[in-house]
Amino acid sequence: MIQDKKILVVDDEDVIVDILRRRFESMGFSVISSFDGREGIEILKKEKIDLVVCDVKMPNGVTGQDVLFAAKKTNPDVSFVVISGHLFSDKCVEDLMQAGANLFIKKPFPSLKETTLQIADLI
Amino acid sequence: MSPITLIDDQHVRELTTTNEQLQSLLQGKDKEIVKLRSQLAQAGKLATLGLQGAGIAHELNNPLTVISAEADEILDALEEGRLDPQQTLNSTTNIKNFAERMRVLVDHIRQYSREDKHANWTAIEINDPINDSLLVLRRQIENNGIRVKVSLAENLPKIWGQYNKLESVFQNLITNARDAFESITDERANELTIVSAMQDNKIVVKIKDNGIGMTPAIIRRIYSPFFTTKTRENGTGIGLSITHNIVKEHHGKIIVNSSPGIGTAFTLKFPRERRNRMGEEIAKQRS
Repeated sequence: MIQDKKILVVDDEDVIVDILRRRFESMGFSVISSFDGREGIEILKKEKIDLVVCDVKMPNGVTGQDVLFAAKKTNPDVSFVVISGHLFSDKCVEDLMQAGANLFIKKPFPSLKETTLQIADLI
Repeated sequence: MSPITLIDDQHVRELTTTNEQLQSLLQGKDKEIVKLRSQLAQAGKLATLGLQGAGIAHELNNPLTVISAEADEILDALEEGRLDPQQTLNSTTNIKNFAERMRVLVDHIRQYSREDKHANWTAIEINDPINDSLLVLRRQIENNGIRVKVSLAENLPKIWGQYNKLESVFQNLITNARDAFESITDERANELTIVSAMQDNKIVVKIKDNGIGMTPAIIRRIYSPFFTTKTRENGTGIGLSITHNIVKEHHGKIIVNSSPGIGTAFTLKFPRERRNRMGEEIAKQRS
């Protein structure tokens, strides 16, 4: 059942979290929002999450990479999508994928519908 | 005894002409130096802007993501016949707000990168160029895990200066403070503090970090043009040299305190507004 699948969205830009939450909820998923990495890691410890959508550069010293490591440590099967507006080198993206990320999506999204469908396919 | 040479009128006229020619030449050189200094300051500003390219891209990409995704949201809702008036209002409000955020940033970059050929000397509240510098830099600094503490005194007397140049001073010092944490690997809480205050009848700005710090040997060379401890990608070595010149042009003082492993503090002291002669002279020479 899709309603049983839980997505965690982590981004310090609250409107982006809200847009993704609305879209995933309209697709039938259950969504938890978080606005910084530290809080995201705490949620991962308490909740059973099926997929994480996470920004990379965030305030308070906890980055998307930290969330990725914590997520994979808690549940190696969790799907992880990195979203970022930063200009990352191919090497950085490669490192994230090697650390367990399933998908890297550049901001701005080319299309909200296609992007969210692409993410939902991972569940 | 040395011989006494009598100078006749002809000689006096010749010497006067030569003297006038030399003075004219000197004035020309003075103008050239002012022009070159201005060009160097402009090159420094653009270099600082270039080094911030990645951060600026992030600052533009986030609002662009919101605008593009909210527009998609409205289009999809229209296509699928599920348009909700309240949600449409929220989405369009978000589009407007984030477009405005981009406008402010782009406007700021345009103003900052403009050459100061006709920049006026005006009365400036020092907190304004500090806040404008933070407009571009604050989020990228915080995203690097650095806590930014800002404490700006209200109602400070104004200083007499050139806005863009002062902004480039703060951009440069704040960027340097940000980079001071790059090689920090211990568990310290990275902090950048910016304070403005009135002290001993001077307007004082302190930019302090608890980053890597500098040795006395490095401190001795920091204002030398093209001296840098950064990699070629991260530094040009002209930032502090230009900063030093700009502070001097504003009749200010720049004091550095630094210890390796402890951090660095730059303290700038400016006199209260007074239409200082040097500023007016430079403005006159440029017009």
